Amino acid sequence: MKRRLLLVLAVGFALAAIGIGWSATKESPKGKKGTGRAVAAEFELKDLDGNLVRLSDFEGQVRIVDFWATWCPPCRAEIPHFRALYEKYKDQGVAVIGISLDRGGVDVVREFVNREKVNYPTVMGDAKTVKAYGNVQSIPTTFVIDQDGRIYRKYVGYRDQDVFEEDIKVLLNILATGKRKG
Amino acid sequence: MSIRRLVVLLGFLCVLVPLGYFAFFRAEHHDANSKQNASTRSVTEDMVAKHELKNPDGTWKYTNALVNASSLYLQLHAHNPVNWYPWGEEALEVARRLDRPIFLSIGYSTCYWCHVMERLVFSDPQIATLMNRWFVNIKADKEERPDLDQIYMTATRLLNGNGGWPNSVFLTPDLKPFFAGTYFPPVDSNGLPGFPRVLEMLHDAWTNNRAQVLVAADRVTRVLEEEYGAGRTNTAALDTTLIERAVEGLKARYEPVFGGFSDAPKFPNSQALELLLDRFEFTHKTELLEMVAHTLKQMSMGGLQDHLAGGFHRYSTDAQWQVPHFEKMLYNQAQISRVLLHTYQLTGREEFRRTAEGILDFVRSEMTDPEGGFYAALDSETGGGEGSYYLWTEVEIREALGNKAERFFAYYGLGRTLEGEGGVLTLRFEEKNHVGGRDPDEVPEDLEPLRAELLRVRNARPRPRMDTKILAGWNGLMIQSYAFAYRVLRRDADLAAARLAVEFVLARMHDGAGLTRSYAQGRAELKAYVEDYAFMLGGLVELYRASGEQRYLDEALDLADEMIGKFKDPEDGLFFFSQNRGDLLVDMKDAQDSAIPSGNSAAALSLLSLASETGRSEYREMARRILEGFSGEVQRVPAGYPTMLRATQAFLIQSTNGQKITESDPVQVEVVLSKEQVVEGESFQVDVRVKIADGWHINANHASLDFLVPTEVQSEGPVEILSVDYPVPANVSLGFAAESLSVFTGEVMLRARVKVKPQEILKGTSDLAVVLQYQACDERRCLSPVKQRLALPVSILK
Repeated sequence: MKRRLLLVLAVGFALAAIGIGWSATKESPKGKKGTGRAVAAEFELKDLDGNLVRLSDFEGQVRIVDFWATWCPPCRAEIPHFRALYEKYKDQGVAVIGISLDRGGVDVVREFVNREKVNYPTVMGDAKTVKAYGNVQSIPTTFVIDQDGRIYRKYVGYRDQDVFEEDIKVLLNILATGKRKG
Repeated sequence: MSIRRLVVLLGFLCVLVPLGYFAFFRAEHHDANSKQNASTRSVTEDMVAKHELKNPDGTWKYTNALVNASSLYLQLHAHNPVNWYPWGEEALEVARRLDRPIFLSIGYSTCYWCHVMERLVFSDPQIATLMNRWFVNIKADKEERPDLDQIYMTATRLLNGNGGWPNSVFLTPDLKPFFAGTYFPPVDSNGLPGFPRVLEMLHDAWTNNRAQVLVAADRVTRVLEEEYGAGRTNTAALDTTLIERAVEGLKARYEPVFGGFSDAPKFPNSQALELLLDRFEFTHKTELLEMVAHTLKQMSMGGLQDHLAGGFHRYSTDAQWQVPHFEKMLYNQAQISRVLLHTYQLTGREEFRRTAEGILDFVRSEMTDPEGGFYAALDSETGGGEGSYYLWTEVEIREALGNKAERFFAYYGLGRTLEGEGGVLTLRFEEKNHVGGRDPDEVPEDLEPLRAELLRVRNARPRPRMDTKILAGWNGLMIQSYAFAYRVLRRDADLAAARLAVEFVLARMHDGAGLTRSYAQGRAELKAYVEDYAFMLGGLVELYRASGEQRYLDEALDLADEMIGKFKDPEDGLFFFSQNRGDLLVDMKDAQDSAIPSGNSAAALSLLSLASETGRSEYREMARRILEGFSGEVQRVPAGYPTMLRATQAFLIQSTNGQKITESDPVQVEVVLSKEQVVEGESFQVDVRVKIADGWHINANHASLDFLVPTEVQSEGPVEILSVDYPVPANVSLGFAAESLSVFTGEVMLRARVKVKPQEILKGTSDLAVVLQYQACDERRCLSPVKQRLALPVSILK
């Protein structure tokens, strides 16, 4: 019998389905002279108990903002590292904020956070925030934000703990690393 | 031809032919005279004696200012009797002071007809006397001065109807072109005026008819300013219309038998092929992929490929890719290997991988400097004969291979050159099926030692000259290809080649203030052009992706900021071609691709990659301004701007508002039904074929861990899933995880048995579907879970 072949596209990811995407948002102002860093977008998201958490709540600190989800193995693998870094540097002005992109409800996330003894704030992401951070499509995507609220690094995909620790040290001036072209 | 007629002709041409319609693909100009190879060559070489340029004691009779140049091409003219200057203030000042027109001759080291003109015209003391008496003579290396090349090649096309190298242009002392041609023979021949006659006519016109000359010069200059100058007001909407028009244009010109998009001469046109691949990835129209795959296969079978040492020659003189012009340019190796690898990724066909590896290995062994940079080009001629290093007679092959020769000739043939002396190796086409010929995949392994033997014989011949200058931009293209190759093939040597070249360019060709264009004879020279920055950026971002090392991204960010500072016009956001602004006839901003992508297109593409890697939206915004700024121009002949349109597609993908996003979509799904019609209540089979890109996986059913999202065929509406046969999963271990995961990779088939619940059936064909759930990850990152609705085009009979 004649077979029919139908080519179907894998249309859009679920992130797309919740209506995110890049729109003509205002051009981010340039950072202070010489740094060329973009200002990290403000967000206002609920934590697992419904309390609002803003990026600006941690003004003046080095902030690691981690987009992740419970169904994502490399994201899960990074979380103990963030826990350790937060423990080690929180008193020196370092904050970590986990933004979960789980859509299966708060309970799944809470269960994981409790089991992994996550010691820093975890909030539930929304389309607006995903969009404001450059249309995050794959996770983990982690932003390292400097004390002035500007994006110092963006990492897409799993990174080892020392990558983040190096960034923290640079921003805290613990370790001066020279760049090329001296 | 009287000068009056000549000037009338000039005026006529530059008004009649609007720029941009000249050539579909602009700068794939062929060398001057390629169509007349045989005749012109024999006539001129027989008629003119070789000029003696050395004294009896072996010293040079003549030495001009080019002796101090680092460029090999300029050096080759340093002992002409012509009093050559390099392009520069000194020469221009002399022209202004003496009120004398400039003869500007632009060529490059691997250009055969440039060499011929050097031997027959510029080495002739009598012709040189006329040149020196009446003109200020300037030589430029196209590869060092792409800005001059671009402006005056366009001028030549305006004045002459077509262009090529050597490019011979006559300018007023204020740099406006008024007469141009390509190769001129030493005496009148084959309908071409001899160069002395041209000199006399132009001297006469300059002396006695200057007003007319200036009118012609002004007209050409006005067109050049309109073409390249600022003030692009006409813009088109940034959507897929222009991309689709370009694709349609390419389809219309596609040559189905031998591939490619033109008659002879035929160029590889890698950028157009890349556009079709990008478009295929977005639309999944297999026709586009087939056009690319067929073209690449035909190119690889012909003499365009060097079947013995690997790598590709510059272009084919015929429409069958049989007989090439033999120079091997770095930019071709870079772009063709990239598009082969991309095609290999999409088709999985081994022949493309092998051909790409042939190029990469050739560049590694022949075109790589001990310090890591890549050389610009390998010449075509040895001992004055074009391609003679590469040509074989049947007798030579029989001598080399003995009784194995028959075996060899069962697969390889000799494409005849126009001169009829010897031929170039091709995989035979005439056998088997006429169109595609023998599949390169079928060349058996026992041919390998035969090819090696021929290579050994060939290596004993005098070798063509290597132009060892290292060009930042072309190195950027090659770095990009090596880094991409590592991502696809995981060969450590490719990653190492990319790293070393990056180190070389950053250490030796960056002086702290900026990148330089060229490095030759131990000297870094000339300020980089926007293309140098844009291609190096592309290379660095690709190397960052391949290696995962942050420092390459940091370097890319530094270079991007330099590029923006040096080239971006604050007025319109478009990028200037050159830093030599104010010294040129026009301050050019260029968008159309040539043998390499245009600077603005490559800048837009690189800025978009940076935006996507860093999340810095200002880079995306800058790319948008470039794309919009040139859209009006692109609209005229979209297929001439494949790289700009690739950038447009990348931009549209990045800026999609929650619509179809396929940029990083590694999973494709097809549904195959066992029946088109089913009787009510009858069960039928739905095969769901899932293709997962290399390096990606989706979870098996069942998933290894409870928090993972399994791949699952689910019911929707009236369609009931009776059973699903899932394939046996693979196990992958990921670097960061202790446990291995049970996953699907590659291509898998999920066989579902389904039934439509009777009470739900509507009449005739109804809108039936199942849902496929999956969630994809590669070794470092994951994409969101997807629930994809798969329509079932089946009619239900009562």
